[in-house]
This record gives sequence, structure tokens and C-alpha cells, in this order.
Amino acid sequence: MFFAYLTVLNPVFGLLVNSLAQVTIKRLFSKISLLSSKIFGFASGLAALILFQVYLYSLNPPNDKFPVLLLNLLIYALLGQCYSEFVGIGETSIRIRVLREILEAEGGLSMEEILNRYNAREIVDVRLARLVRGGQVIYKNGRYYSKVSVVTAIAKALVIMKRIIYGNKNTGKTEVIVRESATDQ
Amino acid sequence: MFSAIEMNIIFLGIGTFALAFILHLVVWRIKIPQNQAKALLKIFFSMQLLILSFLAVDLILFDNNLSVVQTVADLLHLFLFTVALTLVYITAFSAIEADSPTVMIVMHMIEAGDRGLSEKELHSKMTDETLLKPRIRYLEYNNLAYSSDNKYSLTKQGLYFVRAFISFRKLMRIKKGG
Repeated sequence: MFFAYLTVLNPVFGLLVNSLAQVTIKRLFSKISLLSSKIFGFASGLAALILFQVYLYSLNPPNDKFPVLLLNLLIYALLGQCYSEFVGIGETSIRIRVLREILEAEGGLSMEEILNRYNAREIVDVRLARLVRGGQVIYKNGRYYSKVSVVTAIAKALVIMKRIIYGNKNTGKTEVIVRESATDQ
Repeated sequence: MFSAIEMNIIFLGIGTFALAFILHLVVWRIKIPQNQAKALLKIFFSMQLLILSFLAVDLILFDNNLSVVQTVADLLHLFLFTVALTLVYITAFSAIEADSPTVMIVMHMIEAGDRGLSEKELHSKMTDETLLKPRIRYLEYNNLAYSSDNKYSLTKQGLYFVRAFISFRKLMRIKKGG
């Protein structure tokens, strides 16, 4: 019974190794990109999960080895994706950046002061450069063109999901706030 | 390839997620909740609790009549699988809900087609009005910041929230993002 519980918790152990490896590699090698550190962390966690599963099998051989391992790999992949998103939020979230700007300014910031420190131009420029660097957008003769890539597929999927969830309302969080503040005025 | 129990856990996990997703669609079509992430968590975790309680009662009190899971460890495995599915959906939902700027850029370029877009055209489509102001208001709306005398300051909740991310980024020795 004890081995059954250890087997169930194996993906959590893999996630722990993933996060420790990701943070450690990023701390040790500052030049390494965040994406590379996430890939390294994920691979480390995956290796740890498989090795621990093999160790558990050696202590208590089951009738069928593969089903549990596959289920654990599936759970680990999902948890790993969540961790990757968590790390990415700190990198790309506009709201966290705004909160940080407010925190760093003593006595708070007005809307204009926030926009002086961080604005749409910076948001667009950073992302545009990232997309061009990643080869998802082509820059030619002063114009930007989309290219078929994973990013365009994800963008289209998100738009479809948005239509499914919100229907004709087509209102995400930001639009709700815009609409409500427009009504308030 | 799969034995019956693992197959059951996978089907039950996906089934529980699907039921919660349908309920989420119905609720959103009727009225979009004010705090969407909180409402999503409530819907998905309530559904999990319901299914797991049902299976636990069958396992413990009714001698496992349904035979979909065999042990408490199987229930725990199912719980972990559904939690992982839910968390992945909730993280993906934040990109759907808040109009990711990267998605907006890519969609504007797809719409422009062969004509492409100049930097100026892109900046005219993505302004402070559409990208930043709604998000800043949302911080207030979500009790992460408050405004007084036209100045925004952090609430206690906002302070803890941003400090958690700052600490994590410091741990990795990386600068502020955004």
C-alpha cells in the first residue's frame, strides 16, 4: 500500500525536481534564456520521475509496469506546463509589471505616471522584437508579416476558445472593465 | 496497453473536467462572473469534490459496487490528474480572458495578410487605451490596488501578490519583466 502512495506522488516529486533544477540553472548561468532553463527543468523532472518509478518497481514489482508510468507521465506533463506558465507570468504579465512600478514608487502613481514608466509602445515593441527573433513574424521593407508557426496556431486557437466561451458577447475581462467604466462616466 | 484502473482514472478525469467545462460554459453564457478566475476554481473544484465523494462513498460504504477505482490510492491518483487538468485550463484561460498582447499582434498581422503592417499601424491599433488602462482599472477592481487623490497604491493583497513574484524572480536572478 505504501508503494501505491509513493507511485501516486511521483509526478509531484518530478515537479519538485523540475522547479529546483530550473531555478538552480537560471541562478548559476545568468546568460541562459528563461525558455532554456524551463526545458532543462522539465527534462530533469522527467528523468527523476522515470528513475524513481523504476526504483519503486524494483522494490515492489507490479503485474503491469507501463500503465501507471504513463498516467504519471501525463500528470507530470500537465503539472510541468503549469509551472512553466507560472514562471512565464512573471516575465510577460502586464499587470504584475504595473503592480511592481506602483510598489517601487513611494506614495503611489497616477495613471499618467504609470504610463510614463510603462506603456503600450513598450509592450508592443518588446513582443514584436521577441516574435521577430523567434521567427514567428517576418520583418521586410519596413513592414511586419505573419508566418505560419506554433504562435499563430495558438493565437487562432485562443480566439476560437474565446468565441466558444463568450459567444456573441465576445467580452473578456478587460472589455468588461472598459465597458463598465464607460458606463460609469 | 492500459489496465482497467488506469484507463478508468483517465476517462473519469477527462469526464469530470468535461462536466465542469460544460457547467462553466453555461454559467458564462448566462452571466460573466465578476471574478472569472475565482468562479472557475469554484466550478472545477466543486465538480471534482462531487465525483470524488461519490466514488469514495461507493468504495468505503458500498463495498466498491461500481468498481471504477479499487483503492484510496486510486482516488488520490484521480484527484491529482483532475487537479492538473484544471490548473492547466485555468492558466490557459487567463490568456483567453485578458487578450494577450502577443495574440493581438499576431491576429492583427493575420488580418493584414500580404499587405503586412508597419510599426506605426500596429501602434495605432494597440494603444494605452486598449492595452494598459483597462488592466490598471482591473487591478483596482480586483482589490490589488486602490486609487486615492488620483494616485494608485497597492492594497495588502496586491503587495503580497507582487512580492511573491518579485521574490521568485530574485531567486532566479532576473530583472523585471512585462
